[in-house]
Amino acid sequence: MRYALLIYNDEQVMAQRGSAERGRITDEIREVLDRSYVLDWMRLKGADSATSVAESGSRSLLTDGPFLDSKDYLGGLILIDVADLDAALAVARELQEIRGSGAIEIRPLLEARADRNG
Amino acid sequence: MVEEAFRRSWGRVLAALAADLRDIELAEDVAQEAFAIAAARWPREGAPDNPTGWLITVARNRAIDRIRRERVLAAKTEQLAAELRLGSSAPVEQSQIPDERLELIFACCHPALAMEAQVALTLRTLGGLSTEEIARAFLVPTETMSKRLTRAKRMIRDAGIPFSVPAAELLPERLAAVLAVIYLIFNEGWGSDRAELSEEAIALGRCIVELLPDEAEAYGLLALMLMGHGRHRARFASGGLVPLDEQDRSLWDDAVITEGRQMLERALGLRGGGPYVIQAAIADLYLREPRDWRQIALLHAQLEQLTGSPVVRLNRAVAVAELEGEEAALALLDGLDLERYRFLHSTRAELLRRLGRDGEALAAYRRALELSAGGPEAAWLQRRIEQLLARPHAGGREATTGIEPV
Repeated sequence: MRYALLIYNDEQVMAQRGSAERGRITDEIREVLDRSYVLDWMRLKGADSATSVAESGSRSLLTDGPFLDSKDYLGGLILIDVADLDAALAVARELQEIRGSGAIEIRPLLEARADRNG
Repeated sequence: MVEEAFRRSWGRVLAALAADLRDIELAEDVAQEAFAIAAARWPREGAPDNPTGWLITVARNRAIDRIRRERVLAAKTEQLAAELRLGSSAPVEQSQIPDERLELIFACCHPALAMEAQVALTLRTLGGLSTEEIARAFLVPTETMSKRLTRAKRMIRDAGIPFSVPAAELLPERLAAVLAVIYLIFNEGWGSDRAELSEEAIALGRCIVELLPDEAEAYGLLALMLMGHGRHRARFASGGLVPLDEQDRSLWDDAVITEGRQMLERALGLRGGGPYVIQAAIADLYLREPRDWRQIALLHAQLEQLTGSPVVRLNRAVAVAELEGEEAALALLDGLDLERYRFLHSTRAELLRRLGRDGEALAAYRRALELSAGGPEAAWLQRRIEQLLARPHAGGREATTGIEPV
């Protein structure tokens, strides 16, 4: 099954991290990303670079910043193809051990859409 | 006869189908269709030699038909995979049916599901309980329970929750939820004198012990269930519940109780001190004469500390009533958040009755009766109410406790 791992970063923790620590974490995560079950991944720029368009009645409303205001923001996305939820959870847990903060949300892909792309 | 076969086969049939389909909702639908066909056909033509195999075969064919029909509408790789796993539509031999209930119970008790959903789903799929029965066991409206079950079944399918026994490193983590679920199945049978449900729970408990021979809590639970179940023939008489001290001990199944004690020994041998082991030790003490109320109260206090459960405090109050009197016991019950729990009211009623506070006792018995599921328990409560109404004046203490650990 294909899953999207939505990587949420804790803004405060990220801001406090030194470059050496960031480098170590990036290297360790890269090792996971190189595995065969990782279909694709992407990193997003910081939440302060976000712009949101929302529908309010009959008109679109443009706002600066992320759509959902929270201390944790979406920092990236990893697509994996593994046997089942337990396998996906194992990947997420491993990543969380490396990251040491934030959260990962595991979402199964709607298969019809995945087929069209795959 | 057909109904009995159904109850026995339901868990096995559903587990076999769910393992292949990886979709409990679909498995349940086609299993129900197969049971309906059986209900129409078996009384007329006689039951097949191998009812479980027959039911699985018919349900599988139904599933294949349905998947093919749906695949015309939308190509779904998951469904194609399910069809491949289903394989040929040849009849299933009894010897070829692996018991996949353990795989199913681990799927139903997956931590990605809310705990209450895990319990409900296992009762529905393996216990074969109706949605109404499960709703009553959990003190929620039927509609709420129905939604909870549907959501849980879809979650298992959509999130890809595996139908397998978890890997060794995950196994202990998943065990606690599984044991909780099994104990709830047992209690559903225990409370309504449906021995087949208790036996179902015991069978599942044995399965777990076999698979996890080093887990003290698994032995503790099995011990607890066996020591209760060994008395089930004595617990009900002429449609009413018989309190522990009024039970005809010649009706107790000593072999079952002895086996329960052996399981407790094994749990203690593994240095178990978890909630189930403590409860089993309490159950053991309750069956011994004279009763060691001090030790019972102590273990209850330990259990209350471990679980923080108001139900445990309720049981502790029963022991405290023996040690320190009814007033002390009633004080323990004050402020317990168990208004919809019928045993709170029946226990309070019993304590109040012994104190001669008949008016309050009557009100509490009536509240318990309102909340009860009917059957033998309701009959027992009704008898108590009638006894109280017939009582000429406020009496003193009575010899029997009339209170049983719940």
